[in-house]
Amino acid sequence: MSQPFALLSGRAMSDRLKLVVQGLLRPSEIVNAATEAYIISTQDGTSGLDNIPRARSDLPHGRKRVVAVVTHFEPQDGDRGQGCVIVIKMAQGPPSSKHEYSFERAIPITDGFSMSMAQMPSNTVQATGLPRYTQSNSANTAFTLTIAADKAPEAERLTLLTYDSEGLRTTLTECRRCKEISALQAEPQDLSWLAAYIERPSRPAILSSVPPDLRMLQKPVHTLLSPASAGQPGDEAFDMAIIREDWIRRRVRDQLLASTAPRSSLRIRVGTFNVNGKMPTQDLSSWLRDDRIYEQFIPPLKEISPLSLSDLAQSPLSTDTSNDARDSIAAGADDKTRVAEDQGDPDLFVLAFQELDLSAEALLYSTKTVREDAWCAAVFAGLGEKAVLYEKLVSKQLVGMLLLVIVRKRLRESFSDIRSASVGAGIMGMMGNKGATAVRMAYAPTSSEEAASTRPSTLTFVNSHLAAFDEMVDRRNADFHDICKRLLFDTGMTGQEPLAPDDVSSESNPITLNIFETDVLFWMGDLNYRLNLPETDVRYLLSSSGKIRKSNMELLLRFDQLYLAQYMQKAFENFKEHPIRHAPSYRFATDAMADTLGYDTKRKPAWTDRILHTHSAMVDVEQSSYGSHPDISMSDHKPISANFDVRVASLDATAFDKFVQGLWREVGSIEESDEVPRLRVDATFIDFGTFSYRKPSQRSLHVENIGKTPCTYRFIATTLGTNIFPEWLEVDQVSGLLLPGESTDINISTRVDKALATKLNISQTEVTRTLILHTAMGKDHFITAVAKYERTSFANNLSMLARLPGPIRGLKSLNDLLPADHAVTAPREVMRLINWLMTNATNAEGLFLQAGDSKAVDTICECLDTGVEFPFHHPEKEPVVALAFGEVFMRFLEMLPDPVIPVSMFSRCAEVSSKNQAFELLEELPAVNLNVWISTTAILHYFAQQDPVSSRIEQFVAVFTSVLLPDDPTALASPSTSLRGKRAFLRYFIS
Amino acid sequence: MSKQLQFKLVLLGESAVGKSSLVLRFVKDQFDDYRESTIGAAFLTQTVTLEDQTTVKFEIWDTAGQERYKSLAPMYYRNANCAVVVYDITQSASLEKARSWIRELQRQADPSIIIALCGNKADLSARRQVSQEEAKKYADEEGLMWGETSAKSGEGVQEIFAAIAKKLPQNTPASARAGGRAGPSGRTGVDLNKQAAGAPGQDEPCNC
Repeated sequence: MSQPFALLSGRAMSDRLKLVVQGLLRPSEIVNAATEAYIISTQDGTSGLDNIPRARSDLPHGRKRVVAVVTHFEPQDGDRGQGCVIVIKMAQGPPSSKHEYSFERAIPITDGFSMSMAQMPSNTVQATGLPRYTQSNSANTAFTLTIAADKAPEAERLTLLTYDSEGLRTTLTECRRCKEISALQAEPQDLSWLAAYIERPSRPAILSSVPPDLRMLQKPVHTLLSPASAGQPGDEAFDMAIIREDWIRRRVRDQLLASTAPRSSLRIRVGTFNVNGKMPTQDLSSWLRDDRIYEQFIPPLKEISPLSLSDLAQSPLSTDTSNDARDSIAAGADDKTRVAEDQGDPDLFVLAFQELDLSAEALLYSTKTVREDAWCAAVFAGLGEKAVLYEKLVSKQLVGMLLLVIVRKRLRESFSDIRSASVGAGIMGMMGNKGATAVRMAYAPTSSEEAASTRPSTLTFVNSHLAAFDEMVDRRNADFHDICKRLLFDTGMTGQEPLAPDDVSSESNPITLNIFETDVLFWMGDLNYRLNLPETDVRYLLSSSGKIRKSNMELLLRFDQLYLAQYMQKAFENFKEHPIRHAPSYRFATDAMADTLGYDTKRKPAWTDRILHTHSAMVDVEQSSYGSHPDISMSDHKPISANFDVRVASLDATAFDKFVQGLWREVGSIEESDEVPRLRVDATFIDFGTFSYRKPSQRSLHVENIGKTPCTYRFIATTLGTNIFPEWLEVDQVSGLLLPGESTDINISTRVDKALATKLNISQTEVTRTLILHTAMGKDHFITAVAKYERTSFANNLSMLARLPGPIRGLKSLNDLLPADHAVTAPREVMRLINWLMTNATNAEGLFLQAGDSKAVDTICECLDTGVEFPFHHPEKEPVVALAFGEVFMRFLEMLPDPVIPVSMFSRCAEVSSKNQAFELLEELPAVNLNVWISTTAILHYFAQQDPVSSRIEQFVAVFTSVLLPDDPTALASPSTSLRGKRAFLRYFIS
Repeated sequence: MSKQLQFKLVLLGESAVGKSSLVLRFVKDQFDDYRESTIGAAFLTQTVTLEDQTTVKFEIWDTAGQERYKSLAPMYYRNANCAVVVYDITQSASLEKARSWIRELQRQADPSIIIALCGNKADLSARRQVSQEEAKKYADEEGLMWGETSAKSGEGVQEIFAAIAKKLPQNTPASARAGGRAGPSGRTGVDLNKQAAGAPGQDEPCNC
């Protein structure tokens, strides 16, 4: 594994090592030299090699170290700094992650420090068993390097062996230089900075100044572990490191963050606006300042507030007011007090623009300033009298995409380490007509005490414009992943010079940060996701009004491609989006081309403009608004805004370090312990009793660490590649860590979804499985789980229900089913529900539209499964019971594995144009399905007739179309069967 | 430098014949009169040094003997280099069970697996139900190693493991033999250091 290093020339190797080591250090320390060496003795001799190995290849890897000369700079030190030799233990090969190293020694270069080298003479080589070299080859000449911290004889002394003469030479030179600097210093040096490198053997990743990748944090820990199964424990050291890191994070979250009272809240207003190449000609204040959330799903206003010249006249766009603004800045604090700061005002505005410039030249030349300045000025104008409180913090433009960040002046100093990045994803995957721009910054709430430094949190904002057109959804998803991969922030640290010519990967190897290495990530822009419904359906649902408008809009959102991409884990996984309550923001047209709502007749309306976010457990994010601003009509898109409250714990950086160090002392070296890890489980056999679709059964397993060493555990599968748990069981902790004496309760519960119920209803009801709980470096515990499944009338095919000899709970074996020619004409369960409703529910207000009492629902389901009489003797006095029957009936239909009318007939249903045609289609149905369809539509017809409310039919049609002729929005390939057509089909039977 | 070899060893046999006690004696030189039944599979390691200074590290999987867990046993003897099938000399039924384990191993385990038949509880020879001749004869017929042990007194324990160590192929690199990723591979480097430092109580050659 040391091959890649060995191939490099001496110079290149030490440069590369320097780069690697620099990545491990805090920014206040700079690497001057680094060389690879093998530790051969320390002063007390406990870990010395008994004999020096015969050949370089025999040197045990465990002894490999990197010796680095490092200088620490304090701001007041100027360019002198304090030197130190750090000995780092590296994992196998060049470190690929930050976990794989530990700081072993840190020896300050002070007056008493000494470092000496000696070439191992050939007779010594022979005497100690080192190889004899036939030719003088500098790469194979061995040197010893002895480092002493002090002149005193009892001082720490370290001897290492190295073959890297070049690296050794620079190491010695740098040490000498540091020592000279040290000698010049009059007063004793403050060496407290060394604590970061000597307090414990290595550092947990959580102490890194770069937040870990959110995508890793969001994955369940057990999915990150190495593959393992019974008798094949996998890579135990790797697994322990992963579980430990997670354990530390949990402790920090549960013990430190939870108990940290002062939380600093940052109010952020995020906006996105595709301006369609227009210059700002309208007042933007509603987008920037309006928190009023419009009536749910109100249709967009039509040109209510057109271009307002009087507003613009007051804005900094005119010379007068911009002078005012400048004056007020110059006037300083006095003037600021004139404008009242409001607690509710955002601390940060993050505004994303797309299509700032549609001209062809914009693709080729940067026309940056003109349009950016115009929009920036329009934004400040929109802030009105508050404008003087803000200033531009940073912006990043790529062709038409501009990300603009404006900060409350008072908080300017809280932001640091501001970086920006951009990436093109448009034509040929590179041009900037599509793509993303991003900004990243550290935010540390300024504390009252000057001395205490607060641990900063990292905020990242991405503005993206993804591929257009309805059918390009795959391209949009690909754009997302492409941007995630290629949108990188430069840290300014790079490989200083090209390394070995044969090492292609290392050529100019800048150290970059990705957008997920952050505490909170906001992603906004014109994501261009459309609706997977035929255009007529979209306009039909959008134009609905009254009672069914809300449910129609919610139905429409179910076909949103972004929602589906998230649901199907194709893009924007783990991103959160506030529920949408505004009308689609795209695409608007002027009179002649517009429909009655103002949408362009040539394009399907869609929610193209979106704001999403994701964050780590180190911060809380609360969204208080999400809406569009229909009054701003200059573009074919409406601007979107969202208000966020980002709460970060005001953690003192030193206290945080100390807390983590404390945890690290307990668990930092568990993999090196000689103790056998021992867990005790309180049960090896768990009987879950009975469980059913509605009634899960839960048990807990008590696990205790009875050993002397911290212990990690994980459930493993019986064989590689199979599921750890059977599909009917779930466990709340798949892996974990326990300190000696600690214990935990692992909750294990049964779970049944619709698909599993369908399967279990026609299987053996006794289920059993032995779970394997593996202790790292120790035992596999077997825990046998047994349970009995209770069959349910729900989630069965109608044909199967019709062949039941009695209640389904009583079915012993599938052999007891009636022969097909003896099947009943309609399932008993359906007829029981319909009979009850017809007899007792005719006056029930809200039937099929309101939820029923959940206890009554359970009772009804139980009676259906067991055949027991319904226990409701005076239903007329209990309207909630009627609602419960309505709910059970709808649920029954919804849970059918195959709808009453087969999915394959849906498109023909949607095309019928008369009542007769509709009834003709039914002739193709099996008798049982036909009977269920006729009885169901008959009672709907009956109840609709009874109801004095005239719109009842439409409500029933809307609700029961989703139940009887359900859509599968996940079938992304083509827009679903016309929803409007399906509703018309059902209407023929009900009205 | 001496050779280091690493092998996977699995213990099989009826419940309560003393598999875990045998391992405890071998690894820690201890004995408990009352041990709980093993529910699962315990993992331990022990190193034996041969006369030629070759060290043989056993990665031992001590499996549950109860019938309920029989279906999981193949996961543990898969890739095993050697198996110790244990019976109780005071229970003739346990030899029958051992025979069935041996048949299963011969049918399903790696064909090169070395199988040792081990009659435990030799300290209870007064209640012997399985004669040495019977067991030995069976072992010879099947080409197995055989020995009697007492986990309680320690008699024969080191010997049987040392004999297995000697019989294992000495010229194959450990990594190729040990069946892929068997055992916590992350510790190899650490162990090496410990041996160099001469950890007490470990690595003593057996006196056979």
